[in-house]
Amino acid sequence: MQTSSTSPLTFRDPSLLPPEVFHHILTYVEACIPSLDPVIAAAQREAKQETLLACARVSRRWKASALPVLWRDPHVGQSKLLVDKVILGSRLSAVHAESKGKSGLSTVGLEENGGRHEEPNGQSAPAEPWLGLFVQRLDLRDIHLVEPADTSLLRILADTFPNLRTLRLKVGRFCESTLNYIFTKCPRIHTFSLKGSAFQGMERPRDILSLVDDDMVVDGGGRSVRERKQRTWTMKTAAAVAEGVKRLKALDLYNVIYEDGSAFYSLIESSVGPNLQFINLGRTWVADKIVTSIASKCPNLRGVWLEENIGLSDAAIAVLAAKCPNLETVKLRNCVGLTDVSVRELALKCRNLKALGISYSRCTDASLYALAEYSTNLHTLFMNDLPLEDEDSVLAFLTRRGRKLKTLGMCQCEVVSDRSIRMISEMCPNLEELDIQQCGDSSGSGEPIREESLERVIGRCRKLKTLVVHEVDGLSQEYVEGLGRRICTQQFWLEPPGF
Amino acid sequence: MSDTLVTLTSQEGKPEQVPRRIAERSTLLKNMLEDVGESNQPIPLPNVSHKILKRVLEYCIHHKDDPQPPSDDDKDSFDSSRKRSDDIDEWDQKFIKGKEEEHNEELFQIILAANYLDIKPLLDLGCKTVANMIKGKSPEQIREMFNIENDFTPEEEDQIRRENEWAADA
Repeated sequence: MQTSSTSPLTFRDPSLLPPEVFHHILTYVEACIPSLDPVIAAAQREAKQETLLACARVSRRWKASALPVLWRDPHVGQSKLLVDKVILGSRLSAVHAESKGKSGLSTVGLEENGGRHEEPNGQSAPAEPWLGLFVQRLDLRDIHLVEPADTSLLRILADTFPNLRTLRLKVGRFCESTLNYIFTKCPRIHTFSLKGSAFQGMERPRDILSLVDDDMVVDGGGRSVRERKQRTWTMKTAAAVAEGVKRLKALDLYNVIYEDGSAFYSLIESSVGPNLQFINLGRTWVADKIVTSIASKCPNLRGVWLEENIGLSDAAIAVLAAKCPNLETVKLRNCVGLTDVSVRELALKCRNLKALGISYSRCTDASLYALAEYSTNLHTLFMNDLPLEDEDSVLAFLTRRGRKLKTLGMCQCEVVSDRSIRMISEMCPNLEELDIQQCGDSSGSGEPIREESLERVIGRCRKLKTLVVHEVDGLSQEYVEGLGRRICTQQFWLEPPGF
Repeated sequence: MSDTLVTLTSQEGKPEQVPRRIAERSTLLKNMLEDVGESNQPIPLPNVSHKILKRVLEYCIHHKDDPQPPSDDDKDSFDSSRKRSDDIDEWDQKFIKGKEEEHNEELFQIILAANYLDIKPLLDLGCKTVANMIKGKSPEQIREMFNIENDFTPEEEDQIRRENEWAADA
């Protein structure tokens, strides 16, 4: 706790404001400044929890309002012990509530009874629910759980936090029975993230994830016999998962590797529906078939992350653009199979496109001309290391779309010279982040980027927070180091919202 | 029509005339004006004192050209994680600070008025200001700042400690 520079004035107790207003105040106590730095973000969440706990300890009235906010999104970081303590705290509160004859473990949704119960005298009084009911978001991606060792823990989590809306897990060898259990016990989950690192290399549980038909094997007598293998991840065996996925607004399967014929992805593909607004299939190696199928079933998609899926072709993106006209964010970083055709389709058909990542793809100047022509709402573009041939495409883009641009990543674009930097200073008054690392033509044919031009960018783009300029020819080391003391010079990227 | 004058009557019965588009920064007044159509009838605001009404109108005049904030229905489920309390601009900071000797009661009353009149940006400003006062404080410091009595029994304090140990350990 910081030392208070306590004012001689005392203020009126804000808990005497209408309850919804006091709750609103506490949601701002909960609010953190967004940070991409995991250390800063964790420290902010811990400070937030500390303050909310302090609020809960002020008085009974404060406790009643602060605990639901404190418990809404418990931050446990990398500590399994803290998960145990959150569960224990919830169980203790349930025992306490039951001992007082108030709402106990049988209460599933606070909204269902309005958080009230009948007192013996017939009057309605606020119930004291068990604290696990308040938990709406749980992020356990930094804790590596593995089935079957952690199956019990996963089931207890589902039992303890039935009102979860957002669940993020990292589970090795995850089983359909466990996911069935989670989606059954927590029917309000709308954002689900399953970290897939457990499925890399030799750890990949083919027996669990693959749709395995009966195999023909040779027995001891040299005869072929049919060996029965259980089919998993079917609509029948994983019915609750299918229902749960159908309800989702956001699904994150980053790095959960797809394999042709994979039963898990067949189930996902069959289950997603029009509720889905955001999907992250980055680094899953999904092919056109999965993307086109999902696009056809999810016309309300607003954000799609497909980075590093090298097998994707323009045909899949064309279907995505045609079926999902509301797309606002599309990340295609390192999708090396994609060309200008994809960008043109997105620019033409998704007129509300706001953020696009096409770094390390095969997109060229034509993509920039298409975005300049059609993408009137674009405010974020990542175009690192594109094989551009002419700086005029960059200038055309900046001229037409510069005014709305907030984020521009164009590191390793050789055609970018001082002309582009000067254009940015003139055309991009709302720019907040700019990455021009390793820009400039090493052959020296373009105008080298000058320090004066960058100073003009800093001076005229008044909202600029981040400027990344490492390894730019023409800038002195002294200047770059000095810049780091004046403005953030750290790398930034296209972050999936809320994931 | 947006340039016509609207008369608002404060708690004390004192009238205050403002252009309609200023009054319409309040969702409550906007809806009322739409419902009654063309009318010269003053609108009574029995929950708002004249002094606070003047302060609220000062805010509305300064922010008259701001875009209307999106309704909560328009926000998606991810927006809640993006709330922040440090994005108060300079004018708003000075406005909400007001005169130091009156800051206490006035802040409270402005929040109440913003809530009653349904002026979301002003309500947010007031709530952020109070949240920023709370952040980083201990229970004792919060009690001292708001003159609150600790009404917990030792058993209740112990229960809070045990049930929320994870938050203290995080």
